Amino acid sequence: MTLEKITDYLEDNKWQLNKIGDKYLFYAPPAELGFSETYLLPVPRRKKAEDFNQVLQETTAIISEIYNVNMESIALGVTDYFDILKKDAIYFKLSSENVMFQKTLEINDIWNFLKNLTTAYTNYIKIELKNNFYAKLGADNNRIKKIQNKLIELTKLRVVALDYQSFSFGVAADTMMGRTEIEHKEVQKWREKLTRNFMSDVVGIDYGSRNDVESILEKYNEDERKDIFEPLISSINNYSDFTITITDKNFKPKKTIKRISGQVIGLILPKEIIQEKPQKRIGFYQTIIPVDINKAAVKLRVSDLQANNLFTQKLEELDGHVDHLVVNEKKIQLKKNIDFHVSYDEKNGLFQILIPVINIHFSLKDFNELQHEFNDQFSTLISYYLNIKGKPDVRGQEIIDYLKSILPEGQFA
Amino acid sequence: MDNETKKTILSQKYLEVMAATNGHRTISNPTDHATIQIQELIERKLPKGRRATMLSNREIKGVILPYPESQVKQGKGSVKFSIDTGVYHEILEAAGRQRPLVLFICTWPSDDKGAVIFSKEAMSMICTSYWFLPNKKSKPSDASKTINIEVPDDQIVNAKAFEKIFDQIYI
Repeated sequence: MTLEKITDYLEDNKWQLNKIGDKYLFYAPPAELGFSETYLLPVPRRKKAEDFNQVLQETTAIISEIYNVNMESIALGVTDYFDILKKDAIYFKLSSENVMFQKTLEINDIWNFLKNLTTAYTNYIKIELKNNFYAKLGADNNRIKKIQNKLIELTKLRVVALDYQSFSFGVAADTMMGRTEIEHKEVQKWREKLTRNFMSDVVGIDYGSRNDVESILEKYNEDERKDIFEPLISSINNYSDFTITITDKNFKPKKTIKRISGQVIGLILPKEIIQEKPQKRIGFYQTIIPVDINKAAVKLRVSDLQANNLFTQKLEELDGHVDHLVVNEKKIQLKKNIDFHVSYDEKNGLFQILIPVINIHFSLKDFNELQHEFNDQFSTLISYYLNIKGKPDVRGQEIIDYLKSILPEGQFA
Repeated sequence: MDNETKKTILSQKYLEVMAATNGHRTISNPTDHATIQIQELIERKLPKGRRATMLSNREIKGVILPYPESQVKQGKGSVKFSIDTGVYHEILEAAGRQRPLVLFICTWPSDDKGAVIFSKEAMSMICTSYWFLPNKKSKPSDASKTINIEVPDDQIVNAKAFEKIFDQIYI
C-alpha cells in the first residue's frame, strides 16, 4: 500500500487535490458521489509518522467503502488488479484438426464450450457453497439461496486474456469486487479461492486417473456430479473433433484434455441420466405418395411408410446429389453434380454427410438444412482453395482439381 | 471500585454523550476507560433519494483524565491543571503522529455523590471537560511526578469543540 497508489486511484476517479497540508493531502470528491460541497478527504502524507501506514490503511478502507471495491484493488491499481485476475485465471486453447476448414473452429463449438464451462462453474459454486456452509449458515435455505445468488452474480467467469490466432483464452472469476456485499466473512474467504479450487476440483481432473475419478465419486453425489461434470464432459467429448488444451498464461500447452471413455463417463454420471437421453432412430425412406395439391399440408405417419407399400423403399444409406450451389447469394449451376452419402449417427444424433470423391465429411443436426449447409461448406472451400497462393500440398491440389471439375469455367479464379 | 476508576468511566461516558450530541461515533475500549476514539460521520446522497452515513476519515484519539474540580486553578483566560508527567509525555510523543493524542481532562465535583444527579425529569452529569494538544513549543519535562499545564478557556468541550480539534489535527 503506498500513498501514490491511493492518490492515483483518487485522481483516476476524478477526485481533485484541493489542499496540501502539513500532515495531509485534502481531496475534494466528484459531485456525483453525493458528498456535501465542503467535504474533503484527508489522505496522510507524513510518511515518517509512526502511524502513517495505519492511517493510510484506514483511508483505503474508507475509499473501498465509497466505491464498494476491495482494498487490494485500490492498493494495486487497475493494471495490477488485472494481473491478479490473470494469475488465478484458467487458460484454454481450443483447436481443430479438421483440415477441410484449415483447422478453424466453428463458432458454435466455441460458444458451446464457454456455455458448458459457465454452467459447470455456476453449479460448482452452488454445490460447494451448500456443502461447505450449510451448517455454518444456520441450515437456513433462504439465507443460503440469498448468498448463493449474490455470489453467482458477483463471481461470474470473465475472459481476461485472449489470443485470436490459436483461439486461446483465459477465464477468471472476479472474487474480490463487491466483497462487502458478501455478508459472511468465511464465504468471502472461500470465494477468493474459487477459481483455483474450480481448476483443481473440476477442470484439471485427469479422467484417465483412477485416483482423480475416485475423488470425484467421493466428493460429489450423483446429482452433484451431473450438474458439475456433465456440461464439461459434453464439451470434452464433442462431436466436432476440436481439442481442448489447458495452457499457461502465455498460452503454451500444459495438458490436452483427452476424450473420456464411456466407462469413466458411466462412473461419473448417474446411469439413469445416460439412459434418459432420448435417442432418435432415423430411417431413410423413398416413396411415392398421391398429394392433394389444394391442401396446404400432407399428413404422413411413420406407420404409413413402414407398412407394406409397393411405392416405398427403405434405404440403408441415402445417396444424393446437388446440381447447383448458392455462393455469395449467386446461384451457380454446376458442370457436374456433387454426389454425397447421408447416414445417421444415432449415438451423436447427427446426420453425417460424406462427399466420397474428395473424402470430405460434415455433420448436420437438422436435415432440412442440407442444401444450406452444402452452400456454406462449398463457399468456404471455394474461397479458400481457389485463392491459395503458392503451391498447394497434395491434399489441397486434390480438392482444387475437384472444384475446378464441377464449377463452371471462368467464374472463379 | 475506587473513586478514580469510577470517575474515569464516567468521564468516558460523558465524552461519548458529548460526541454523540455532535453526531459523532465513538469507540471505547471496554477494558480501558482512559481512552476514547471519536470518529466523524458524514452523509452522502445516493441515487433514488437514498442517503448513507459513513466515516469521513477524520478521527480523534483521546486520553481521558478525570480531575478533581477543587484542584483546578483559574488563570487569565485559562485553566491550570497539574497532571502526571507520564501522561504529559505520552501526549507529547504522539504529537508528531498523523493522528496525535488529545488529552481530555474531565473535572468532577470532589463529592462523589454530586457527580451525577438524578431527578424525575433528567439525569445530570456535573462535569466540565477541557481538551489539550501540545503546541510546537511544548517540551519534555524533567519533573519527576507532575507537570503543570495551562489550557485556554475556550478549549472547553462544548458543541463546537470537536470541530476545533479536527481542525487542529487535520492540517
